[in-house]
Amino acid sequence: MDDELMHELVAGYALDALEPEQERAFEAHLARCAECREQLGGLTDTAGALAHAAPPARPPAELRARILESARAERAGVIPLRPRWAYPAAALAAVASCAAVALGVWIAVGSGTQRGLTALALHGAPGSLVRSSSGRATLVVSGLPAAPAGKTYEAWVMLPGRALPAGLFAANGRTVIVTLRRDVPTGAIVGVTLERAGGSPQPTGTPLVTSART
Amino acid sequence: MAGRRLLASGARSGRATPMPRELAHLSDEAVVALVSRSDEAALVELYDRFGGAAYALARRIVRDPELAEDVVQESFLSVWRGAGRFVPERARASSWLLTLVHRRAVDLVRREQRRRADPLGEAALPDGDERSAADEAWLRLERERVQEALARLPDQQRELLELAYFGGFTQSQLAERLGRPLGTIKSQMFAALARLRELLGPDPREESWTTS
Repeated sequence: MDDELMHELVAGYALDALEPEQERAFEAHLARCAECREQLGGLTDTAGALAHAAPPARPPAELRARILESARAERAGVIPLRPRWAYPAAALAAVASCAAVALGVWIAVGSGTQRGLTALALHGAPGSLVRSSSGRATLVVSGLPAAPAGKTYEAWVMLPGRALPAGLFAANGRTVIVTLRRDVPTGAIVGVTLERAGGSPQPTGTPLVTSART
Repeated sequence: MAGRRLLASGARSGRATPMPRELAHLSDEAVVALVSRSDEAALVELYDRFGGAAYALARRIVRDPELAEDVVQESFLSVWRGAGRFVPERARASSWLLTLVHRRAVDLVRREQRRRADPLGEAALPDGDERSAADEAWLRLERERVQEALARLPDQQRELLELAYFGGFTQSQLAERLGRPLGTIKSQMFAALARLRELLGPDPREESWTTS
C-alpha cells in the first residue's frame, strides 16, 4: 500500500480497529512518517476522550488492592513489552518522547536517539533520574528540606574527574522536579550539592544525592 | 516546571481505605514515569486517578464485570512492568493508559467473540462509594462534553466510531457488516475521528493546570 493510503490508517490505529497485518504495516509507516506520528498523538487523545463516553461503572473496591498485590508479586520479574509498543528502534526516538515527559515537561528527544527513556534510582533521597537516550534528563527527588538561608541546591553532571553545573533548584521537603540544564552523557552520574546562593562553578562539598550511573 | 493537576487528580475509583496522597501534586506523566520504575505509591496514585475510567471503558467493551477487572488489572500491571516508556508523541498519559485498556479489552472481545454493538446507554452509578465530589463532577462533565461532541457528528460517522471503539470491530469487519467498501470505511473513520477531535476542541482540563 502506498503512503498516501497509509495516512488514513492513523484513525483505525488510534481506535485499535486495524487487522493485525495492517497494524504492522502502519507501524512500519509510522517509523518514517513524522506527520502520522504527530497526528497519532492528537488522535490518541481523541480516542482517550471517547473512553469517557462509556456509561459510568465503578470497579469493586478490592481491585485496587489486588493490583497492588500483583505488582508486588512480580516486582522481580521482567516481562517483555507487548509487540504493539515495540516499534522499530529507529521510530522510538520520535514516536516515544515518553514517560519522562515526566513531569508535565515534554522532553524533545533528539533525532539521533535509538531508545526510550530510562529511570535510574537515587541514593541519598527517594526519587529518580529520568533520562532519554539523547541525554536530556529530569531529576525527581523527594524529601530534601528547604536549603538554609543563603544556600541553594545545585545539580551536577559528574564525569570522571570533573563535575559540570546542571542547574539550581529549591526544595521544600516534598517532591521537586528539576529539568537539568545540561545533557547527561552515558556513564555520567547526576549529583546534588548544597551551594551558596547563586550557585558555584564547582561543587564545594560531597553530594547529598547521587543517581546511579547512566 | 511541572504542570500541576489541580482538579483531576483525585480518587476516581472505589477504594476501601483512603491512603495518603503524597503524589497528588504530580502530573499524570510524572506518575506514569514513577510507576514504570516500580514505585508503589505512584501505582496507587495512578489507579486512583484513572482506575474508574479504565474500568468503565473495559466494562463497556467486554460487558462482563470480572473480565473488565482483569483487563484493568493487566493494563495497570503493564505500566508497572515498564511499558510506560512508550508513549506516543504528544498524547497525554491518561489517553495512553486508556489505549492500553482499550487494546486489551478489544483483544479479549475479538478472541472470545463477545462483540457487542449496542448504542451507548446510560447507566446509573451504584451507590456506596465515597468518591470526592470534585472528581465525580469532573467525570460527569467530561462525559457530557464527549457525548455532546458525539451527538454533533453525522449519524454515519458516530455509528462508525461507536462500533469500532466500543464494539471492537475492525475496519474489515465493519466493511462487511455495513456493506461498504473497505476503502470507504477507512476514509470515513479517519474523517469521523478527525471531526470528533475538532468538535472536542482543547481539553478543558488544561485550564485547571497552573504552571509554576
